[in-house]
Amino acid sequence: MTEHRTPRYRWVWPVSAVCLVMGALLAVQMRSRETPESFVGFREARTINAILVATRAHANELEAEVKELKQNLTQYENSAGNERETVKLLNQALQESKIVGGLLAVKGPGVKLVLDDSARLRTPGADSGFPGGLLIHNMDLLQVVNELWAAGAEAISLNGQRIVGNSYIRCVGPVVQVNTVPIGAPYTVLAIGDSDALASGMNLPGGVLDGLRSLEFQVKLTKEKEVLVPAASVTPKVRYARVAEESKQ
Amino acid sequence: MIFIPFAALVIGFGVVYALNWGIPPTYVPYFAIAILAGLDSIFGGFRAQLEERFNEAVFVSGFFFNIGLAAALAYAGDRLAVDLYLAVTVALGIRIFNNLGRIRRILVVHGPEHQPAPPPAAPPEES
Repeated sequence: MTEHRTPRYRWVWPVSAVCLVMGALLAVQMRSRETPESFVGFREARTINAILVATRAHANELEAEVKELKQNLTQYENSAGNERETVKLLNQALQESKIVGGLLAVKGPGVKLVLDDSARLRTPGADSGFPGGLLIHNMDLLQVVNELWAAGAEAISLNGQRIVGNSYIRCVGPVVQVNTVPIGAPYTVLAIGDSDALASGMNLPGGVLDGLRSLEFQVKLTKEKEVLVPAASVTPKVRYARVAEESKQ
Repeated sequence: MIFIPFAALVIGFGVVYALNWGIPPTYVPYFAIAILAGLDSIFGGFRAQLEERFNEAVFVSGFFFNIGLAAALAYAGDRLAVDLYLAVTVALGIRIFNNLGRIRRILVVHGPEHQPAPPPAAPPEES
């Protein structure tokens, strides 16, 4: 082909080079756009909601099953505990771990704290500019729980939900979600521990209750001879964590 | 000979697509602007060819310079919180429409075999 050298076709090579680059640019762009958007449409939301409802029902069934199995386990432990002293000791250690882990309902001395939204909400016109500031938020509850642990609480429940190591207290719109369960005001916090220490921890000047009281939140803290803290409803499966070599014996 | 640029386009696309190169999502808008600038340059080159005032150096330099300039302008606009990418998009869009309009006019009026004599004082190709 001698055509290459005729001036008429001189344009081919630079144009080809440019087209090569253009193709590469388009490919890069397409590859980069392929990540799907995280937008959830109305229809998808409905589908997801249906799945959520079904899953919740399933979760309830499983919870019942867990309850039953826990009872069985306790029975086995009781029968085993009668047999040998070593087993008894192991059992005791196990019981302690289960108390700390929230697997058992526990009772003992402690405090009862009832929190409700600010009384200012009921006086019309007062502080209507920012009503959200007069509601109990998940952060308030987190602070309360945190302060109770710091004051030596051994078991804490929030509206019947046991607070354990992996519990979360989240804000979900108008309510607070604890361990997947939505709860609303008034909030009842039960804590087992030295009731004097717990109460003084709660009433620290400048502490969490101090702040809430200054905004006329309804705070009722009582020392109790005996409070009953329920077991955690569901203990999540351990899927990723493995025992590290250092702590294996 | 016309098939060589098309082959180059397909090869460039295929190779990079197969290599699965991507860029961070942050830079995708700038890249899109750069592609628009590249398209504009290619149509401009096509038009210049039809008008017989095509110049390889102008075409190639224009292609790469415009790509860089468009992306840089869009980026600078984002840094300065001015929507400069809009200016780039509008300018390039108008140019692409103009070029395509000229190309269409030439092809429709004179037919695909059109070989006009160069105008007496042809301005250099816009790039």
